[in-house]
This record gives sequence, structure tokens and C-alpha cells, in this order.
Amino acid sequence: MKDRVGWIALTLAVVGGLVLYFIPGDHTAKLVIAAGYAAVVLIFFYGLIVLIMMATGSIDLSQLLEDDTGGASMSRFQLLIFTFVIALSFFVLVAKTGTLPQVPADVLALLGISATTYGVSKGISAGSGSSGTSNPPATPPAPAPKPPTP
Amino acid sequence: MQSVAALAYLAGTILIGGFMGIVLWKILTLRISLGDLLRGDSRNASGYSTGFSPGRAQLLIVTLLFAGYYLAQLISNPSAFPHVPDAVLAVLGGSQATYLGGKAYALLFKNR
Repeated sequence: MKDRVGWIALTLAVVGGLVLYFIPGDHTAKLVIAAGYAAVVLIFFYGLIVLIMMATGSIDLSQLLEDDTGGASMSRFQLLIFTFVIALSFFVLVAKTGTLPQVPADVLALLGISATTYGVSKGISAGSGSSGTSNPPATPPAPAPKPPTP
Repeated sequence: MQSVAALAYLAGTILIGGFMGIVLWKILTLRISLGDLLRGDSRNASGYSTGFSPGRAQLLIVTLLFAGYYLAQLISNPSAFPHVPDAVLAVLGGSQATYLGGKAYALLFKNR
């Protein structure tokens, strides 16, 4: 089944290439347009596969906001919110202007503040030895006794 | 090339909207847990416990307010990144510092 799909895709690509070649027009311009379409379609399907795997649970998102103690992490939640907001604004600007926008320093500072908070929060949790349990740390095993010297 | 740009815009909208929608749907159906989001760690003689954390609550409020402000600015002028005033950055920084300070005090210094 997988081989058949591969052969069909290859056949379609070859036929598409031949059709594109014989369409009247400048070959360089046609190549640029074809490459643009191919890139968009490929990236879209890669992203769509990831989306479907997230939706079906194959990519597990259940611990997306969990910290080491098992509860939801406020710093992760904030980083998620700010990432969404800035990614959305970046996409809107690219769609509106058609060019990559210059990212201002205050937006970078915003992301930096959020990421730094996440990192420091992890460091504090690690430094306190927080593991979500109230058990005392395990004692290391006693060293093996030395064999008697002859 | 305009048709390629239009296709790219459609693809990007589907992917970004899809990703945000999936994360939001999983949060609303509790598949991504927000349990203990407002409960902070604290250390006592018997180990660790959690209780309501004012630091986390204020950070949540500031985060949501700022996100709403930023999106409102973007909608009113979608031709450039919204300008974030220095005062707003200072408020955010202070909010983060309050949250981290409270966490550090509770976990590293209290009951030692």
C-alpha cells in the first residue's frame, strides 16, 4: 500500500513537471512558481501531520504545562501565552506586508523576560530538590567491604 | 506569484490556527491539566506542600491583561508590531520578580 502511494506520488510529480515544461511562458518564471507551490505544499503537509498527531494523541501534550512537581507551571503557561501572541502577530504582519518584519527590541525583551522567568523558576525548583514527594532523600548504599589483604 | 502567496497565507492560517485550537481544546477538555496553576510550593518540616499562591495569581492576571492589550493593539493596527511601553515592561518585570521571589523564599529559605 505504501509503495503504491509512493509510485502514484512520483507519477503525479513527473506528469506535473512535464505539463509545466510544455506550458508556454518563460521557463525560469515557471520554475520559480513551481518551486514556490512545492515548498508551500510540502511545509503545509509536514505541519498538518504534526497537527493530526497532536489531535489524536500520538504527540502527547498532556504534560505541556507540567513542572517537576506534577502540577501546572505558571511560568510555562505564561511562556505559552506570550509565544502564541507574538507568533500570531508575526504571522499577521507577514501576511499583511508580504515581507519579514523587523522585530522590535521591546518584543524581544518580552520574550526574554518570559523565557528567563521559566529558566529561573526551573532553577529554583531544582535547587530546592523539589520532586513532588515528601519522602526524605534516599541514603547512598554502604560501600562494599575491602577484601582482607593476604 | 500572488497565488503562491495566497496559498501560503491559507496554509499558515490553517497550521497556526490549528495548533492554537488544539492546545486550547486540550486545555478545555482537561487533557492538558491546569490543576495547581495557582497553588505554590512551600516547604515545611514534613516535606513539601502546596497552597494558594498570591504571587502566581498576580502573575496570571498581569499575563492575561497584557496579552489582551497586545492583541487589541495588533487588531487596531495590523501593519506593525504593537509598541510595548517601557512602563508595561517594568510592570511585567516586577510581576515576574514578585513571583520568583516568593517561590525562592518558599522553597529555598523558609523553614531551613
